[in-house]
Amino acid sequence: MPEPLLTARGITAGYGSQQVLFGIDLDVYPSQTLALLGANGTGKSTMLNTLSGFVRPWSGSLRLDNEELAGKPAHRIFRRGIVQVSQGRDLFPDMTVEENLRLGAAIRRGPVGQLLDNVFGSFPRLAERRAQQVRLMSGGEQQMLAIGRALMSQPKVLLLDEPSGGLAPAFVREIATIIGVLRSTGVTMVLVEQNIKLALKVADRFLILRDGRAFERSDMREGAISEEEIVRSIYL
Amino acid sequence: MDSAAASRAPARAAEGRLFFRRRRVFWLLPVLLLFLPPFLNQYQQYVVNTVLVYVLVGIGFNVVVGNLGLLAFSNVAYFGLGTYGSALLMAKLGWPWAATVIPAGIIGALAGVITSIPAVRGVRLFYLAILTLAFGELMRWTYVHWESLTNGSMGMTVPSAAFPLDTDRHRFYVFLVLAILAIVATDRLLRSRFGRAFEAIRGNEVAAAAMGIPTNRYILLGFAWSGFIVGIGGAMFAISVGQVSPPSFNMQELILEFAVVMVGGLGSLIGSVIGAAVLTALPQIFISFPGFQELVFGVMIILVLLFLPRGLVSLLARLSPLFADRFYRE
Ligand SMILES: Nc1ncnc2c1ncn2[C@@H]1O[C@H](COP(=O)(O)OP(=O)(O)OP(=O)(O)O)[C@@H](O)[C@H]1O
Ligand SMILES: [Mg+2]
Repeated sequence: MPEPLLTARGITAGYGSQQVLFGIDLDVYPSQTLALLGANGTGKSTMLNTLSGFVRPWSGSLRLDNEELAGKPAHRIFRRGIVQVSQGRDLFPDMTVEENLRLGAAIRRGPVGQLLDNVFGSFPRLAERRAQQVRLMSGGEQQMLAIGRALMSQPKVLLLDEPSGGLAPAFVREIATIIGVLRSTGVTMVLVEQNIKLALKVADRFLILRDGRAFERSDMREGAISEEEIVRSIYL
Repeated sequence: MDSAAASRAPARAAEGRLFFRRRRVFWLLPVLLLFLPPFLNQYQQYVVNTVLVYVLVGIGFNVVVGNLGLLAFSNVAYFGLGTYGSALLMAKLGWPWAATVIPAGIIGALAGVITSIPAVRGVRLFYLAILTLAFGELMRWTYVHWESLTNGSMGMTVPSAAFPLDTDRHRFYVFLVLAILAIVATDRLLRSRFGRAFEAIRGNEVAAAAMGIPTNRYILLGFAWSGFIVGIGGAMFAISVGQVSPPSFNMQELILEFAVVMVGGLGSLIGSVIGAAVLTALPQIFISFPGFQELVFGVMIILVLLFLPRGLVSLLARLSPLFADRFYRE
């Protein structure tokens, strides 16, 4: 096993006085996908937001390439290469598709044309709509745009929070294909998913959260686990 | 946006090198204005000078409310502090006016930084509006009550200055240069990565932060820039009116300044210039009908907001893409 690219140790976090995460450890290996599973409200989004710096951890360590990032502001962590596609997608609704994509590379100096071509190459739907205002796009198209925009910054680790959430089955399949392609091209990902079939299809490893704690049988390897087993460990 | 510029680029190339299709055509306006004074009487010249003051007041205000998209209303405080700052440096320390211009800008910028604190700490909407309004009123209270310095509600007289600041006509040329500098510098700022960051913050603050943009830093900078430009406008105002008193910086003034930005076109630099011209000059036509001025003013605001929500600049943008600067959106 190679060295992990991203490691979290003993992460605790919450909102106000309400604690949500109670000491989470995780390792993300280069070019692999870690799926973070769990019931609603168990702290999956909070964990991702802690990795991206949008939620400040109360304690614990967060290392990327052996650099400590816990407590750093979100824009710094972004610059280091941890890029999140949040559950709300956080697009710029009044701007066009292309403008949104260009903002994904806002902190990069130099030409972004090549990056833009790459993203339009992998997302033909976005290429067709490059001048369209984002406000007028469907949820699935917006999800693709959010992923495309994250890729514009050439992330070291891509965090995806329920990319299939609220989408019609056809779009879920399309998103699954996209994630599969990303994985095969070596993008390192942390994926939060309610759609366990999708997670099983694309993830290398799993971490199951229950009430802000990593479930004991987590970190199960691909092949060694069935959908039923996952469902049982999430809910029972 | 870069991208908007990029998508317009082929069109621009197709238009060829026609002078009138390019931004530098705007330089015709100040050149023509150089020949204006001989045609104006002293009062008309004073009005035109006031327009130039409000060009600075408007473009500065617009950076915060239009480009950053924050409901912060301390603009009158920047204006008042710049005005009093310049007037006091002249009256108390005997500085020549020219030496007070940059300090007035710096005083305005400092006030900008102070009033950015609530915004930087995440205060938004109503709460930000009220806090920043309160700061403006606090400053006005200070002008009234710090009598030893400001002569209170009696107002203070600004020492008269020598050439080229001795007459309205001469001042006009100085003001014109300052207005051009302010416009060009603000245009540069808005076209740089700062402007892109402002637009991202206005579009969706969380998303901007998620794209690695240090939003707080840019918000502070936007306020400081706004205060700097408006503070310089204050120095111009001081020398132009010759008599500075607290009522010049009341709520009604704030409404006028907000109207300059709104009527011109929220977010548009050119719009603020147009708004300054229209709202400062137009009411003067009705000066001999008391009370009618406010009426005209109110009706204008209502008409523009009802029928041209993007401001007067949107009329011009229909005629030529030159007026659709990057912050102009349908
Ligand atoms: N901004 C916030 N302020 C206060 N409490 C919050 C906030 N965000 C989340 N919480 C609370 O923290 C807990 C964990 O929420 P989180 O969003 O991390 O769960 P989740 O596992 O992502 O759920 P879901 O599957 O519904 O997205 C919940 O009890 C939620 O109410
Ligand atoms: Mg969630």
